[in-house]
Amino acid sequence: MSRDDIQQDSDDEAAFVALLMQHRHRLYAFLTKQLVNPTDVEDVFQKTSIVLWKKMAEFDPQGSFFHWACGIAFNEVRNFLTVQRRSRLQFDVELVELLAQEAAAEDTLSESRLDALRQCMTQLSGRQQAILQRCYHGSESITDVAEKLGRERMALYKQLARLREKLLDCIRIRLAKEGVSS
Amino acid sequence: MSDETLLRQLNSLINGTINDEEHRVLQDRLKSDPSARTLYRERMDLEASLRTWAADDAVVSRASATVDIANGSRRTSQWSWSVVLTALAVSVLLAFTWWQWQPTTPQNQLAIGHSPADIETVLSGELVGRIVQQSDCRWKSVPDVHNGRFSPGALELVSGAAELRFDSGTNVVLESPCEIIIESADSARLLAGTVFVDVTEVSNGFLLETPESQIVDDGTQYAVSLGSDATEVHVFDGSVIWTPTSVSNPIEERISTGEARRYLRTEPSRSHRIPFGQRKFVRTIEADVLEASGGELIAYDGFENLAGQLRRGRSGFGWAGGWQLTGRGRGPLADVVDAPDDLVFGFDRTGRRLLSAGDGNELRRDFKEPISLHADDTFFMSLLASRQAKDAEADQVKSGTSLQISLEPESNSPRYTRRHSVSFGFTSDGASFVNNAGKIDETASAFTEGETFLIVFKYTATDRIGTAVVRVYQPDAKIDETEPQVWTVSGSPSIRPQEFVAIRITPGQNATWQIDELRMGTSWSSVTGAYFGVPSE
Repeated sequence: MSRDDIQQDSDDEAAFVALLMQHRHRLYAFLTKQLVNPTDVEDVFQKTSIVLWKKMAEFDPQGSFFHWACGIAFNEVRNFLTVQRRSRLQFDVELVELLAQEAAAEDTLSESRLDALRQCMTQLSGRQQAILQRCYHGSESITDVAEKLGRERMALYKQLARLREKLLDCIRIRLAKEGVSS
Repeated sequence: MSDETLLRQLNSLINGTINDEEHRVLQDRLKSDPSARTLYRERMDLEASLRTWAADDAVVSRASATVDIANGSRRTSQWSWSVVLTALAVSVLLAFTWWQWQPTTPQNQLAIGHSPADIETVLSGELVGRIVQQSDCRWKSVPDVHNGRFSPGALELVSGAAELRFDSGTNVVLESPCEIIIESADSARLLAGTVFVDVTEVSNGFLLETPESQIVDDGTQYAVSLGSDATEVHVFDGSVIWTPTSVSNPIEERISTGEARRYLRTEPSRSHRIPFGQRKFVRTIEADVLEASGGELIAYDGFENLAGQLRRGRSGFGWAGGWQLTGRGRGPLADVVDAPDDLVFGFDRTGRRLLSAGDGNELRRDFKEPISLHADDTFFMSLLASRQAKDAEADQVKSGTSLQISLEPESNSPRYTRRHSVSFGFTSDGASFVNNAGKIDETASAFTEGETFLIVFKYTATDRIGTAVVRVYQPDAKIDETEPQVWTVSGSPSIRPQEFVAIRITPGQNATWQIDELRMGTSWSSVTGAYFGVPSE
C-alpha cells in the first residue's frame, strides 16, 4: 500500500465519521421511532454504523446520506425484530414499516426538536436537569436510579412524565415561533 | 380511545411498563390513526432528543472539568463543546493512523454507540465492548464502564456471571469467581476462573492468554477453566490452537470440536486428554439434559444462562424466545442467581443457577411449538421450588406468598386464557392445589419455608376432557422411578383446550420463589429421571 493509498483511506474514514457524527441524532431518532427501547436502539445503531462503513463505497456523495442510511438502518431493524421478536414487546412489521416511512420524512424536524429541547432545558432547574441526565444517560433502569436517589419508583416515573410534558409544551411553542411545522 | 389514554399508554411504552393487552391496543390505534402516529413520533423525538442531550451534556461536563483543571477557570458548556470537537478531530486522526498498522479492520473499531462520548472514546481506543451482567453480580475490581461499555483493564468477578461483548465480534462469558485482564478489543488474559468464549462469524479472531499459554481460536466456541494446578480447555465448535509460552521451543497443539485437554500449570507443553464435558460448562448442561431424556423432553429450562438474560431466550430449549413480564407486574423481570451448593433429591446443584421470582411479577414464556392435545395424550412437568422468607415472621402464614404455574391455551382474549388455563402450585398457607380450567382442588401438605420441593404435574387428555394431577415430593423423599399410584392432589376433570402455547409463573406479592430445573416431557422418567437415586441430604 502506497503512502497515497493510505492517505486516501484516511480521508475516506474521516469523511465517513464526519457524516456519521453529523447525522447521528437524526438516525438515532429514526430508529427510536421504530424500536422505542433505548438498549435496542443503541444495539441497532451500532450494527447500522458497521454496515454503513462496509457499504460506504456504494454511497453516492451527491445524494442524501441520511436517507441512504435510513434504508440500511431499516434493514437492520427488520433483522433485529426477526431475532428479538419474542424477547420484548415490539410492534409488528406492518406498523414498523409505516413508522419508518414517516420518520424518514421528518429528519429536519427531529433536528429542530433537538435544538428546541436544548434551549428549553434552560427553563428547568439544575436539580431537574440532573434527574433527566441521570435517567437518560447510560443504561441504568428507572428502578435503579430511583433506588440510588432514595426515591419511590412510581414517584420518579410521575416526575419524569411531568418534565416530559413541560418540555414538549416548550418545544411546541419554540417551533411555532420559528415557523417550523410539526 | 381518548388522547389521555393514548398519552398514558405512550408513557407506559416509554417506561417499559406496558402490558401485552395495552401494547396490542396501542399498536392497533397507531396503525389506524395518523394523528396518533404524529403524537407518537413527537414523543419518540423527545425521547431521542433527551438521550442525545444527556450524552452531549456528559461529554461537555467531562471536557469542562478537564479545561477547568488546566486553566484554573470556569468555562461555559458552549465553549467546552468546541474544545471537545477539536479534541475529537485530533483523536480521529490519531485513531486512523493507528488503524492503518493494525491487523484488525476499521469496521470492527466502529461498533459505537450513538453518543459523541462513545464515538470519542472508541475512536481513541478507550472502550472495547459492551458489558452485560446479572443483577446480583459482585465485582472486586470494578470495570471502567461508560454507558454500558467497558475499557481495557483488570476485572475480578466475585459472584454471578457477566458477558463481555467485544466490538471485535467475540463474546466472553465470565463465570464467577473469575479474574481477567482485558488487553484490547480482541485479546484478554485469564488469571483465574472459567470463561466461555464465542468467537462469532463476524470476528477476526480472539487471543486468550493464560499465565502459561496462548489460546488462538479458529472460528469457534470454547471454554477455558484455569485452576491453581491445571488449565482445562473444552472446544464445543471449531478448533483452538494451544501454544505454551512459559517453555522454550514450544509446540503448538490443535484442539478440535468435542475434544478437551488438561495441562498441568507446571508442565504446559504436555497435554492430558480428558473426557469432553467432564466439567459442566453452561454450554454442555442443556445438551446433556436433552440426551438423558431420550428425546422425550418437550421443553427445559435450568436457568443456567447467561448473565441473567432471561428476556433474550438463551437458556434452555423448546422455547420461542425468552421470558416476558406480563400481567400487573411492573418491577424487574426476575433474577437468575447462583443455586446453593446442595444436593436436592440426589441432584447436585453445585455451580448451577436458578430463577428467583417474586413481588407478584408474572413471567410468561411461549413454547417453541404448541403442545397439541389429542385423545389419550399425556404429558408431564416437573420443577424444583422453594419459598424464601422475606422477613423474620416467616413461620407465620402470610397472604400473598403463593406460587402458581399455569399452562395457557392460545387466545387473543386474556379472559379466555385465564378461564381455560390449567395451573398448579402452592397456596399461601402451603397447600398444594390444582386448578383445572376453573375447577379447583387442594390438599394440605407439610410445607417448610426455605426447603426445596419437587413438584411433578401430569395432564391427560381424553376426547373433550382433561384431567390434571400433582405429586409433591418433600425434601427428604425418594423419587418414584415409575409413575406413582397416589397423587398429592387429583384435580377434577374439565373441558380441555386444543393446545397449550405458553407457561406462566405467578409468585405471590409477598414472596420470593426460587425455581429450578423446569422440565416438560411426554413420560414420567423424562421429567424425573434426574432425581432417581439417593434422597437429598
